[in-house]
Amino acid sequence: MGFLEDTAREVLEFTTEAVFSERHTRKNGLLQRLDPRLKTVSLVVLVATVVSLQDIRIVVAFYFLALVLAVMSKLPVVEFTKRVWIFIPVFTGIIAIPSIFMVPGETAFKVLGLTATWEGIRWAVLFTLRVATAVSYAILFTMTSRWNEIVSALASFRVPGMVITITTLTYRYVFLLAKLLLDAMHSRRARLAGELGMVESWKEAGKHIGATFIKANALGEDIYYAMLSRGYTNEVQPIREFRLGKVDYAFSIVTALVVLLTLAFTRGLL
Amino acid sequence: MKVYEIKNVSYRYPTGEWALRNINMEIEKGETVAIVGPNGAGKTTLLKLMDALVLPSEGEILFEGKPITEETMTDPEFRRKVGFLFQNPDVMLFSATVLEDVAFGPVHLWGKEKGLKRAREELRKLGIERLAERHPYNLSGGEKKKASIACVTSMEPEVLLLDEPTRDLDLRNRNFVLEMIRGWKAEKKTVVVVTHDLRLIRLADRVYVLKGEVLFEGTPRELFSRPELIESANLDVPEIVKLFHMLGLKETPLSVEEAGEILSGLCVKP
Repeated sequence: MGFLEDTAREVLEFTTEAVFSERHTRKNGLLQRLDPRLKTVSLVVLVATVVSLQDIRIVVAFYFLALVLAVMSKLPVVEFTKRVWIFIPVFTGIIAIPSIFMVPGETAFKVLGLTATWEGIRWAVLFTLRVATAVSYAILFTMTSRWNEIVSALASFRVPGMVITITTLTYRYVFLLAKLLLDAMHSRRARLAGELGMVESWKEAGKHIGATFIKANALGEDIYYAMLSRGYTNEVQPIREFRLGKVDYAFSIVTALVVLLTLAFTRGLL
Repeated sequence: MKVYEIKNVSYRYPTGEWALRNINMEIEKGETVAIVGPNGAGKTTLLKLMDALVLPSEGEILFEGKPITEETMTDPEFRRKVGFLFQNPDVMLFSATVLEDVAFGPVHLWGKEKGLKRAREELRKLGIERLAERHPYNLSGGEKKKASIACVTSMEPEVLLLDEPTRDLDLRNRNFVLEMIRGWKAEKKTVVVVTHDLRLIRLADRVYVLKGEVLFEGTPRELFSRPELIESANLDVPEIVKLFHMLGLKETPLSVEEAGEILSGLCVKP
């Protein structure tokens, strides 16, 4: 099997397992017990604070706070860390590595005629850490929240019903299509003798994409009919209601304190 | 009282190909009608026409004496009265949890409070209340089928349109569906079932053989006594019927018990 197909299969398997199984959302941990509305707001505030930081030490402190929250939410720390760092080199590498050579400053070393600066290295480390920490909070959110809670939280923030419907259907489609694509890949693997070359592998991937597009079209039509058949009139009525508890109040106070203290410290008020 | 009157109905796909030509049918209130035919015979399209999901290219369908028009598509009363069980349960489960899927129709019809109450009642009735908070990703084939049945029955329909309800199910789940249909029959609900399952055909009061057009209309016994029709409908002939044909017996038993009674009547006591 070609590199492309191997990668696609692994990404699909990982996504299906990681996103859709909702394995960790049923655990009785700190973040799982929080009201989803409050959790959404808190994590957005934490991410916004992290991306505004300029001090590496404070970013590292926020990263460790994410790890503490993961432990308190009974998430497997190794799996959590892997999920965060698996994508970081890909996304940040493209931006962070060139900046080592592009940010002006004191020379650190030279390679292939390019000059790396200490300021560039510092910026690259800060950027990577900030991304990793922000991603950590986002992953904490997805690993501890059930999809229906997220949708209901969106509804309580007065997000229009049509947007929620589209989001819900997209989530369902991604799952169904990922499953469909994986099944197709497994079925082809079962009928394939030997390995495919790179060009062949690309051609096969193209065929899969085409077939999946056709299937998605048919599936979309049937899902719409199934909704229409049960009285759908382009309006979604969320059915969940939430109430804030002691844990929610405690978590909001701690989050607010952490953010305010950080802002005060970074602005030299402490 | 006639629930459906299908008059000279033809349907052409957007590609220009005819799916159905000149269909005439009448379905009485409380009847169980089986529609059989080979793949691609237009059976599912006919159910979609009967559920006002698509409109005929030619001809007219009357539901309780009133013609099905574009307005029928979003008529809440029609949607409550007619329930459509799709062949693929995946297209019926598009929400974040099973409870939300089952409540989707009732909430649209009766609002949040009553809708949720009905959904929970239906889950309890089908013995799947444990699935209420589960994501459809985590369900087995049988569980998906039961959940999709609950999606339909939670709307308390008087007419049930069932598209291959026993397909891809194991014996226990097939029996479950069969018992559900027996129950609806006993409650005098109108059931229209597209199927290849002989046990479901035996349950029907009348059978239509469809192959783009109506090839036959009659009782299951009349159908099984005409092997050429069974062949054109791409159906299996029950073993017991084959045996009676081989023995040159004129009767067509629909079950082993019935065959036993016929044979014991033929036996000459010494």
